[in-house]
Amino acid sequence: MTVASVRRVAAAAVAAGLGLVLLSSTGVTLAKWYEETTLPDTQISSGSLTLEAGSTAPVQLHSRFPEDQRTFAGGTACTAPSGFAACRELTAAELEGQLLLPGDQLLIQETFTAAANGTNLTAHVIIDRADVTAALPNGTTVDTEFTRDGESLGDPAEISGSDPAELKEAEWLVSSRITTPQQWPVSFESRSIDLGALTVQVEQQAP
Amino acid sequence: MTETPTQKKPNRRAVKAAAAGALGVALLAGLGTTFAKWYEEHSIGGSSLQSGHLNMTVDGAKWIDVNSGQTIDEAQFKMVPGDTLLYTADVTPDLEGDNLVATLKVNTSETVTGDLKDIVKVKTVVGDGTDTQQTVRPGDNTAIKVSVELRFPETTDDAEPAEDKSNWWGDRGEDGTVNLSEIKIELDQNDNP
Repeated sequence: MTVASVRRVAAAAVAAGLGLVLLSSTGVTLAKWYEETTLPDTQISSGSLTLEAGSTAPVQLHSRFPEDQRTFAGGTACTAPSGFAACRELTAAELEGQLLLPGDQLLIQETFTAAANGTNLTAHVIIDRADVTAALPNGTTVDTEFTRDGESLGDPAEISGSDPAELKEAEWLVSSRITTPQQWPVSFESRSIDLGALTVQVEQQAP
Repeated sequence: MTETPTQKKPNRRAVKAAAAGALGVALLAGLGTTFAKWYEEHSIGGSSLQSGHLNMTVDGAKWIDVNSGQTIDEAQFKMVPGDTLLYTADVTPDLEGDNLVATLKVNTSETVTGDLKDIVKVKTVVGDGTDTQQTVRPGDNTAIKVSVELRFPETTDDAEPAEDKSNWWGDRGEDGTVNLSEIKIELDQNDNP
């Protein structure tokens, strides 16, 4: 074998080797059949739970004492409910400067929206204003009612992904009646009270 | 007086004959014609060799909501934690080839995209059991069920929801998408034994 023919054999061997390396390194299997099909245009979306705070209406202060027996700091008169002698509607700023008396009742009304978006989704709307009782004298009660689009709901209220669109967009109204006892311990004289905040939770129940 | 040596003249006939012979050899060699050698040949009697094929058909593809057992339009479905969706299809292989063996599988490797890809779990099954692939041969012409399960785990650690909500999703995964269009049902020829 001449030098020239040895070179030709070597060049051919290198070329073949390079071909194998290229095929192998690209992950392509060598000369085999295959058939494949992709899933048809498939995009699946997830749902959500939404909760958005709304507004707070003026707070009503219901007094067991008539207006001539106590002093209100600002506000406008309103109709007193049964069992109370006077009513005052107060903004948040006016409430801050108000002097509460034993037996007073506060009516706080707040709005929000809540909705469930999901084919199988159900959730509970849970409302909590319990922290206010810790700030007021023993015997203070908190009664909370809530409505959606004017319709009264149980506690907790259930929402579902299958609710119609108008219900998902409807406004929720929470009315909290905080009624203080008619007798307060001396320790509550001349002190400020933090009424806390309304907590609304939306919690998935199913699936 | 000097004598001039007598010069011999070449035989012109011999030169012409040699030139003609050389020309004949050159012509034969140039045409690539072999020189008179013995040979014997037989044709392979009427043989026509055919190749086989490797095909498959996919029928009856649908998505099922496992929670309700209903067939769904996956484009309209809104998935939430705890949901499981199942894609199923019937694959009928069609193989022909004396030594042909192939593997049917669903390839999900790096094919799931979208912002839910790290949240949802994808599992594939080929056949009626739990196998992820199945060997098929010529003659295996009955439909094989192929499924892709897409699951949104209830919790971040795929365990029971904790009382303190430490493993709840919060709002993670809300209003997201997962794209499965690149998932492939593959029938690949096996290496010959």
